[in-house]
Formats: sequence, C-alpha cells, structure tokens
Amino acid sequence: MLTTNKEQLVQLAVSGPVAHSKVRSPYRIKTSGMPVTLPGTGGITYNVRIGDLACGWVADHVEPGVSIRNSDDTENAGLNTLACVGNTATVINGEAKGAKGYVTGKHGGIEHVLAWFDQKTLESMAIGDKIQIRAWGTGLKIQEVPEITVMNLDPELLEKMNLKIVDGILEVPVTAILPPYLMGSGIGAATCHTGDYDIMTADPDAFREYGLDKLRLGDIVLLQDCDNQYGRGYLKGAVSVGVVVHSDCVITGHGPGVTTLFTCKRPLIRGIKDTEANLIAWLSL
Amino acid sequence: MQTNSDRLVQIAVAGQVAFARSYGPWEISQGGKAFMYPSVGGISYNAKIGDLASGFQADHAEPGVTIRRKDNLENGGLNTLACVGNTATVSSGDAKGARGYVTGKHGGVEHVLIWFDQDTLEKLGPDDTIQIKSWGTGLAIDEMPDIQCKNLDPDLLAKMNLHIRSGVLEVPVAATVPAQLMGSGMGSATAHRGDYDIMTADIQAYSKYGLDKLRLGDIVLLQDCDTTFGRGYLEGAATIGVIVHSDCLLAGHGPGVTTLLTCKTPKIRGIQDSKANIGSYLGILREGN
Repeated sequence: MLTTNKEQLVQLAVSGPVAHSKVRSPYRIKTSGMPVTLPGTGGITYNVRIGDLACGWVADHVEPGVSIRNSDDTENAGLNTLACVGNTATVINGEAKGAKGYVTGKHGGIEHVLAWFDQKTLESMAIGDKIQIRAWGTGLKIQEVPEITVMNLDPELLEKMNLKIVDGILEVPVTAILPPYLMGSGIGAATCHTGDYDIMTADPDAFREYGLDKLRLGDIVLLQDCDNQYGRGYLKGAVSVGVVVHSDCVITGHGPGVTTLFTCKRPLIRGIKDTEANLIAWLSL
Repeated sequence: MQTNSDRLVQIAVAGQVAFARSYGPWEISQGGKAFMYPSVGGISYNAKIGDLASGFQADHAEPGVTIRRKDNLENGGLNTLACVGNTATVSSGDAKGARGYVTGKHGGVEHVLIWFDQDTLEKLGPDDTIQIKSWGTGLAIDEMPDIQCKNLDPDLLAKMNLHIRSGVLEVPVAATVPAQLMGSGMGSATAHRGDYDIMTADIQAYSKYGLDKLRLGDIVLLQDCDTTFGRGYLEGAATIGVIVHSDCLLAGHGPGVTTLLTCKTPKIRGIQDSKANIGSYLGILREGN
C-alpha cells in the first residue's frame, strides 16, 4: 500500500452545466484533404461510454457521457483545474437530480470536464442541467516516490489502480505503451493540470504496431519520453501515465486524448501491460 | 440495406421555441407588390406536415414548432447535428415529457423544425426547451459509397422504401424538380444544415412539375443538383430532400428542401409516388392528409 498526503488535500465543490455542442465551420478537413461533417464535442453522449473502443466511431473528438463547462472562463478554469479523474459528480437540478457519477477526464481546447453517469441518468438529463463535483486530488503526492508528480487524480482512485513500488520505481498497470512521436495536439500547452493531448492515429503502421485499434475510452496508457510536469514536451527518459478521455479524430495531429495522471522527468515509472487497466475496472461503472 | 448506424454517435442537442419574426412592415413580392404575411418562427398550430406547401397565405411558414439557440455557435451545433426523423422531447414547461420528431432545418434563420401532436402544440410556450437525441450525421449506405446521406435519422432511412437496382438507389419521391427551379440557399457552404428553395414564380413550370400538389414533408428529387459540399448545379448529380417550409411570394424563394441524400453521379433514381412523405413514414399525418 502506498502512502499519500490525501489527508492534507482540500475537498472543494466545483460545478458546471451540461454543455451544448458548438459548430463554427461545417467542415473538418481529414488528413487526406477530404472535408467531412461529423459529430464532435459537447452534449450528452448516449451511446459512447467508458470502456468502448476509442477508434471506429463516425465522429471526431467525441466525449463519452456528459460534458460540462462554465460560461465564465475564469470559473471554467477553476472547474477544469480542480476536478480530478475519479472524483464524485452529482446532478444537482433537473429530472436526474441526486444521481451520482464520476469524473472521467478533462478535454483541453474546448475546456470541458467529462463525467460518467449510468444510462438511466443520461436519458433523463437535459442540456444545461448542473453537475457538481467534489474536487479532490490537486497536490496529491506519493510519499515513497517524491519525484513523481501526480495530477488530475482522485486519491481513492489512485489506491485502486494496483500500483506498486519496486526498487524505487512506480509500477503502473497500463493497456498500451506509446512512443513520443505519436503525441500530437496539446503539446506545448502551459500545464497538464487541465486538458489532454492527443495520440495521433493517421500512420497505419504505427496504429497497428501500438495496438491503437484496441484502445478503449478510460484506458490507462504510458507515454514514453513524454514530460508532462510543467507543460507537455519531449524529454528522453521522462515518463507520463494518463487516461484516454475522448474518441479518435479525423484531423491531422489529433486522435484519442490523454489526460495526465502521473509524470516524472526521470525513468521512475514503469508500465506493466494489463488489458484490464481501465477506469471501468475501478469506478464500478 | 446495410448502413453504418451502429457506429454513429447519439448526442443530445436542444433549443428553445423561437418567437415568430416579422420582416415587415412590408415585403415585396416577385411581381413588385407589397405584402404582409405571417412568416417564420413560433408555434404553427394549423400548418402541418402533409398540408399543401402552397396552401397558406404565409411567407416561409414553418410547420409545427420552430427552435433555435441564442448562442450562434451552439445553434450551429443544434442545426448541424439534428437530423430529420430524430426524436424530440419537450424538457420544460407545461408540455414537459411530450415527444415529437424533427421534420426539417430552415437555413438563413437557422431554425430546426419539429412535429408535435396538437395537444402538445396547444400547451407549448415561447422559450420552452426541446431536447433532441441527435443521430445520423455521418450516416452511409454500405452498398452505395458514392451517395452521401445528410440530416437523416437511420431509422427514418429504413422506412423510406429504398431499393438498390443495378447499382442505382431507387427512392420513392412525390415530385422531380429540375435544376433551374432551385433558388435561395444556392451557394451555401454546406447542405448539412438549412435548406434551399424551389422557385414557384414561373406559372408554367409550377403546373408542369406539379408544384401545386407539393406537400410539407414530401420527399422530392432535385435533378442535376449537387449538394455534397455546398449547393450547386452539376449535370448528372441528384439530390433527394424533404419539403420543410411553405411557399412564399419573394423572388427566388418557395418551398424549402433539406437534403437527405445526394450524389455527384447519376446513382439515385426517383420513383414517382404521391405518398412519399415523411409524415406517412413517421406516422404523424393528420386525418385527410
């Protein structure tokens, strides 16, 4: 059992209404140059869930479950910074009032927090209904491995992830281990305490070699030579571990998004291949 | 007919009942006469799917309920993702819980149009919210990869009595309209939202192509009309669409057509069928229609 500083971490309420889909240009331009019109971010997504394949949908950046966002940008930054994957989310008005779910990720650019709810709750929710989150996890540390930064992670979820420390190295069950050259949009962002960055899926050989066809929403993945400590960039030996938060995309430089959970500038994190390493196993979804 | 419907995402979109708009004090008809008719928006109590498109003293009357969102980008999401045949549910007000169907999208004003039964219409008020389970954007027919489906609920597609014969998709249509009659809406960047109008000012064409019999909700074929990436003329192309709003008197305007199927090459054939109307496919026609 790892020791964390969870007793010192503050629990704060953050909230936001269910966000509506937005469309500016009707077209997204595929890597091939072909314009397509597809569903994307926002709304209540009824049939794309945590545990489903990330690739294969006729869609672009689809967010599983419910997407929430505040109209005030500064308040939305509060929501997006403090909400952590695994935090409890509660519907606080409307037909589904009182229903409970979990935060499953954060989507950068559009600045949405994504939450899982059961199917009955999804069917009874309306756009604009408010979701409140018991934000808990920002500042989380594992006492035995102080060099590793923990981000966007609920302390109780951390305890369920079957983590081990072996010879000073944190071992994390992951479904996939990805090379740095597949990491795309989101690189260069100022922080990983909000948002995600995308695994590029346009190269067919890499797509097969790294098993991206089997990648599922909610999967825990390891990003090799990826430093996520103070922004996102390449650093030999660095390791990040994150969760797959949204679906594949058709735009060049994009693909399934990864919200950071652990990162270290030195090789103190090791991925242990485990096809079951998915939020669905730990959040009783 | 095989489609990719099991890979299409279902996402909630919503909008508020839009207030009726006036373009007055006067509008000018094609003949240069000033007129003042009811126009778009609001709750239309007596203009319904199945009614004659030219049967009303109105300008672009929208049958049933008209919705939109105040935020233009969000309204773009609503107007792009909502598909004809999608289920709509009233989510606030006295008619809360009532169910209907999306029947069209009206460009320019960027409205989504919805059928509800009469009892629901009588209870609805301005600003009541309607939520739609959007489903259909990206729909494709496996056997016909050159044909694009747009704005079309997969379950409605399955009810349209489509057949593939020798590599051509046969679609029952109430009318076949030549390219020279297509007007306002031409040149738009996309047919994934909105509509374009069948011009009704030419009296001979009006009777020759049976436009006097055109009904709201009718499925029509637009000959030599390419609506794959915007709307324009292309010989051999064909577009199948649905009549979404009424006739009007403005030059270049008339009953609007929201695209459902389109192909740049002659792979769509219309089969004349006066009953080809979404009202009959969705089971929402009133008695007599």
